[in-house]
Amino acid sequence: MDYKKAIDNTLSDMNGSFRPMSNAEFSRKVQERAEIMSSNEKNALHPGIVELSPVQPEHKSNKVFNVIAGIAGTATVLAGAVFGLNWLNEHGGLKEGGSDELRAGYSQNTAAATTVEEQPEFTTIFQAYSNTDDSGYVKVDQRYGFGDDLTVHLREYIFDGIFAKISYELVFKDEITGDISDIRQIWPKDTESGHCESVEYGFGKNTVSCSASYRLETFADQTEVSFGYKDDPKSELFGLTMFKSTDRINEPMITTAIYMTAPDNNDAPVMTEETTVTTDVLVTSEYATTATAEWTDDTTYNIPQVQITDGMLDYTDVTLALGEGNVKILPGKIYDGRILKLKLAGDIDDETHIGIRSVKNPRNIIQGGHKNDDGTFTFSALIDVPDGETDVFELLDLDALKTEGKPKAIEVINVSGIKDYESLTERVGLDMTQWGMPYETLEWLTLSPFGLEMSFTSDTNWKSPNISVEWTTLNGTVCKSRGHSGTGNYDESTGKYHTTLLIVPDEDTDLTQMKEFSINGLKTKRAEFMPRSFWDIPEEDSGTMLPVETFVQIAAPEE
Amino acid sequence: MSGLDLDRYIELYRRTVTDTALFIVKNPADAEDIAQDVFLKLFTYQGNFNSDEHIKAWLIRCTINHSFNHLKSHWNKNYVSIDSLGEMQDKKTNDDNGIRTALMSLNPKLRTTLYLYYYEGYGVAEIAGMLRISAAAVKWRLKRGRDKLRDVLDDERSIDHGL
Repeated sequence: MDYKKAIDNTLSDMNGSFRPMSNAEFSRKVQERAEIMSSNEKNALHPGIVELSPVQPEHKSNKVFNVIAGIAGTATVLAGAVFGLNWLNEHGGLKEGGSDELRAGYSQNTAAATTVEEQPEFTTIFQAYSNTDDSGYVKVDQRYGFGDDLTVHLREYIFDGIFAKISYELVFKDEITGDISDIRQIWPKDTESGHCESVEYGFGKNTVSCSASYRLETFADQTEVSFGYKDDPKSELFGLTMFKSTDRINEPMITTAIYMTAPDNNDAPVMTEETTVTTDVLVTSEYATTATAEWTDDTTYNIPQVQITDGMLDYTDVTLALGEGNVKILPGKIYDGRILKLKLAGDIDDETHIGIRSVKNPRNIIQGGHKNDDGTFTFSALIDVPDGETDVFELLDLDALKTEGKPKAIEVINVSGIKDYESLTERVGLDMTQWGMPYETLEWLTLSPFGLEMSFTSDTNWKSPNISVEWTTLNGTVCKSRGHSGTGNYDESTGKYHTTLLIVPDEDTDLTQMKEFSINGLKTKRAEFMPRSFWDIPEEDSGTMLPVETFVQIAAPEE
Repeated sequence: MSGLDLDRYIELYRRTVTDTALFIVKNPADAEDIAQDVFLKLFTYQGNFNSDEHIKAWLIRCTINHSFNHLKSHWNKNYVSIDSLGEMQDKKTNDDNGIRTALMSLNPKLRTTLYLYYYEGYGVAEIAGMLRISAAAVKWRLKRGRDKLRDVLDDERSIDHGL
């Protein structure tokens, strides 16, 4: 296929009868807008118009970042200890420009950019950069281990020039049973440069997940946001330093460094670190330490971690111990921003053995699964993380309920609510009596290439029987899925129970290609079941496929 | 940047910017708006460029970002009115063997990657830099896009031949 020609023709078709303005007019409008913007900007902060300077390597080579014991103090928080103050500055902190024997070292992972050759005496922190042209989202995934009891896990970082949001976790080895009120007191400090907007917490059995938002009012060449105890203005636990620079192709960007402070206790361990990198995150190198603490890498963690980049599973060989056997997560696309779909090979026949739960937020998760013809098993879950937010989920071995009295976490999955598909949502309002669900109304349908969600309401709290859904694709392949709407969540404002059935096709099946659709053996009347935006019958059936995001043909029910 | 410089870059790259946006957002009026936003950004940009090629790459990257932001604001609102179905029917008859329809049916990320590779002629490494993804991800998107196009076009031919 001549792709270039195809694209060229497509562009011509799309332009159609559209008449763009002349270049002169276009230029005039751009300059007019610039003028208006300039006069409005005097009292406002606009992320795209920040004064940015060319690359200044000395920023990166002279900054001093000391990784210290960090939130090890959290372990002592439970015992009531207090962090030392100004440790960073006393040891050649950023504001002073650093002492000679301490250097920062890092290199970018995506290009041959700045590489600092000197090795620091102390460990360093990582840096993450975000371009103000982009969303500023950076996946960090760096851990700091402190002895056997506590790990601080930095997750994600978002900075758009005004708002910075950092997500991190405190992962304790044992289940949290003590008072954790001190953890709730950790906030980013308000300064002249900005103030804390919000802090959110999620509590799992041994994890405290935190997400803090900070709004910048002004942005000088360098801005720092420190986290400390809300009630103690002088306390400092860790912080962010953001400064302007440029990247390898002279693009303006804002480099952010996250550093940890240490308690006054000089015996506190200083950690080595090695960063797990994803695109746009700078790699740190491993440095010698002055203490005896050792890096706790993934192999010693009880719970390994699944990395998802752009919805794709990064690991190519992930095996989980499930019950008395093993299952392997097969590589591929597993998350689209709403639906998580794991293809498992191994000792699993149905979804009753495996569960999923959020460790950050109480979420109503719809899960299900089906056995595939090739012997693999597809486990799916509807995980609706709002755009811009992140969450952490645990895969659970539910069989452990029988043997150990509680489900056992076997894998950790990080997801972010960045949806990368186009979907259609339509209100249906259909009485499902004729489809064997007398008490349910199908309220909404959401169709995307990755799944079909059917949202039901019911006046009574009954458990609907298994729903069998079958559809035929354009090439004649018949696909099946089973599920049940189940007992739903009760909504006091509506007085109804709400449930959702999620239909997730096999890996290579695109639901938007469906030709016929039936529920519980009954083929639907296409005029009455699916909304018109999901399907259409051409006036004259030319046999040509219609745009898939618009049309899903449904067969008529047989009366 | 001076007005004269802006005029020059509009002359050189307006078509590229608009086409890039159009291929993602699928609407010429929206693409025109996005193009204005992008050139506004260029006009007020304070940094330095190394070459015209650098500017072009910068413009394309800005355009992609703006286009995806535009798409995000329209996700889950992609209703198709009955009136527009007739319009689509007309366009469909001009579609050369369904290729246009197939291209536009692709996920925007796949579409963008194919566009940069085949239409703009950028290499894998350059595209990786523009989209801030790995080279492996670029290759995966190219393969996936081609596979999906092939599947869609095969289905079309099956229907056309009554299979």
